Amino acid sequence: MPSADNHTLVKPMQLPPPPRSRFQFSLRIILLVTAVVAVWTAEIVNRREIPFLQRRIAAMRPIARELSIKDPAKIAVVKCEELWYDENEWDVYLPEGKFELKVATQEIDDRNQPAEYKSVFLPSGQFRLAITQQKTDTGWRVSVTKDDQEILTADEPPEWYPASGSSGGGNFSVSETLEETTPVVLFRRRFTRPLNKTSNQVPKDPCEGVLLWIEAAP
Amino acid sequence: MAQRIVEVVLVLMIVIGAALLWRSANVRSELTAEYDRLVRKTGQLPIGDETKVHIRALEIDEPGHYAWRAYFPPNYAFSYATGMGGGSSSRSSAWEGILRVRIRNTDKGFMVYTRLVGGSSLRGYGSGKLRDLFHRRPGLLQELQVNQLGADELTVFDATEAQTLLEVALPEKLLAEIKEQVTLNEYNEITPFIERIRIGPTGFEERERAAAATGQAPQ
Repeated sequence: MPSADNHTLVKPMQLPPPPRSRFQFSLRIILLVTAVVAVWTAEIVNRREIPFLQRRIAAMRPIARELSIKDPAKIAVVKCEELWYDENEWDVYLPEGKFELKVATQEIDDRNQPAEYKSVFLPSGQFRLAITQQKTDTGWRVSVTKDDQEILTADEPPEWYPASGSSGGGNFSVSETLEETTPVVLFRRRFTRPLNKTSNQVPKDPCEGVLLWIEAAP
Repeated sequence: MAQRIVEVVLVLMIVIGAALLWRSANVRSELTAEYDRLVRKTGQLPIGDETKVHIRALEIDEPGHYAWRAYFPPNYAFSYATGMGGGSSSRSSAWEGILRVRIRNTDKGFMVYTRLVGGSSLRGYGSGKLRDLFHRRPGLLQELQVNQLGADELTVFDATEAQTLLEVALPEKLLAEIKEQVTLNEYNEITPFIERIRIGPTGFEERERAAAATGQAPQ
């Protein structure tokens, strides 16, 4: 204390700082914790959402019927959605190389390709193929178009298909990637024959029908 | 010193978390864009309860063309009844796809194409007289009276319930004209609906017919 006789200053007593509580943090730590929670919450939400999106996409892709070209060196094909009865169209991608489109209407079995057929060369690239079977004045006509241009036809007499029914249809309801070394069978249909007076059956032997396929040209 | 260690650990967690978040955000962004694109193409069908049937009508700007996005749960054994007959199917796994009915007024007659699960069918209506009556009304498809399931909102129902997917009726004025000019059988073929499709658990039609015969509610 200063006295009246001399002016010596005395330092005031400094109280020690109050003890820090265990749960008392600096502002910097609080901000850092907030940032950690924000970042990791967003990460957890993403991790939950990603598998859900992958599942939904996997379920929707077959419905969309889109051509998926996964390897430009391989064939890709998908059958377009049928919007009317007996509508058969495909989106096709062919890599560089020589390919033939073949159609047969006789001697069709359930797995092989017959020796007799009509064919046309196909270019590489992407295009749409369609096949129709229509009654004409003289019998039946099987017509194949590429991007709406007719490229192959086969005419058959009325007895070729007596409207007795058939078995089979178009393939590739889901987009597929295929090696160019194996035939790509787009459509296989075999006509039934009378089994007795009341029922028909697809014969075990090769029979009349329609077979459409793509094969690498020699 | 302890606080310094805590701060360093927190910073490390932020850096690692940010790196993972950046990667997962990119993946999610790509998947979301793909999902949105597919939704625009195939329609939106949010699946809530995976044990129930979900059906939602698609908007199609073409008279006489009706389609639905549909989800069938696993082990759903169902049958359907159309004007042409019916069918049944069952799948052990869940199925999603598009159901379609399309009506065309052609020179060969009034044709109804139906594609449900497992197959498609084509039905033509009427002999020459009926065909001529339809043919003389090229705008007939715009006049059809339609009741389509899921047209206003997503319809979700239990696999044990039967529902009417579609009812299509001819306009009353035309029916009055037709009644005077065709046989009773032909008239009955196209009334009260020219096409009516119901879907439900296997055997629902028989149960409903039996219940109607006895005057009791179907089980």
